[in-house]
Amino acid sequence: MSESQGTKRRWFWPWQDEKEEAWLTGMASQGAHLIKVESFGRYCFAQGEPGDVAYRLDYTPLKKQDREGYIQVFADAGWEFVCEKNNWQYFRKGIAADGQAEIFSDNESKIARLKRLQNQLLSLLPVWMVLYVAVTQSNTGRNWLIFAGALFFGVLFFYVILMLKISARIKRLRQF
Amino acid sequence: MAGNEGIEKYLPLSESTYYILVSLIEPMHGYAVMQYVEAVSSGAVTLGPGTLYGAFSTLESEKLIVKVSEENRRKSYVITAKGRRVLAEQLRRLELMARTGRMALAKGKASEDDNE
Repeated sequence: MSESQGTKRRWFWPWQDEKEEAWLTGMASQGAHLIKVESFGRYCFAQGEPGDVAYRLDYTPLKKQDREGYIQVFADAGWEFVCEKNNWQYFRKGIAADGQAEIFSDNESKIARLKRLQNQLLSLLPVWMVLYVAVTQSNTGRNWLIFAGALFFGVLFFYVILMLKISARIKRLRQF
Repeated sequence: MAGNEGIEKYLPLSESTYYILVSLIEPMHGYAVMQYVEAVSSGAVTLGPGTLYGAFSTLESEKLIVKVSEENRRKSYVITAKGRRVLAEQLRRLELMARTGRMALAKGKASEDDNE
């Protein structure tokens, strides 16, 4: 079994989910079917028959007791749950099975998903703030302070980009 | 309009949410709602699983629907009294819109006929 498995590194930003779906579909067409997603963009694949497979990503922070029911709703609609990573759920479905290859059937629910992503990431921002203050108050030397400062503003920059990218997508969806 | 305070903020319902609330007049689980909505709308409205799950979570947290049972990992929900009030108000608005629209089109038709 281990011979027919492989891993591949590929980095996608949180706003590149559609690109990620297309990439996974492309991998499946070469016979590489996703098993799981690990940290820092490490994707594990099983080698098998090439197939026409649609991949779709949901973003839903789930409570432990809600997970099974959530997966069941997708299974009933013909979507196989593949894996979950950082609140992102990966689903797939054979395209030939039927025409319906979307997990969201209206713009309202697509917007709701993007807002879940925004809200979850925003809720982590205070953690970074507290970490930054803790580091700058701890007198640990100049180099460390520069490093912490650069990291903090790097993260802040990432947040600004993320919010702008996602807000632009929400705006586009609202126009329809 | 006693008892209707705070209902405005849920309106207008999206097409999907409207059909989900209509389905849940009787207790139903997610898959049954998907099938029911597709059938009553003659296939015009299909609910994706992400759309359905999201709507169920939102409606439950807004207390417009409530969980009644769970069987084989499928949770069944039913509309609440508050949900019924929201649905009734949405229906009143839809009827007003439909009546106004019909009258406008009938008038337009009459003047078209006059011009011929």
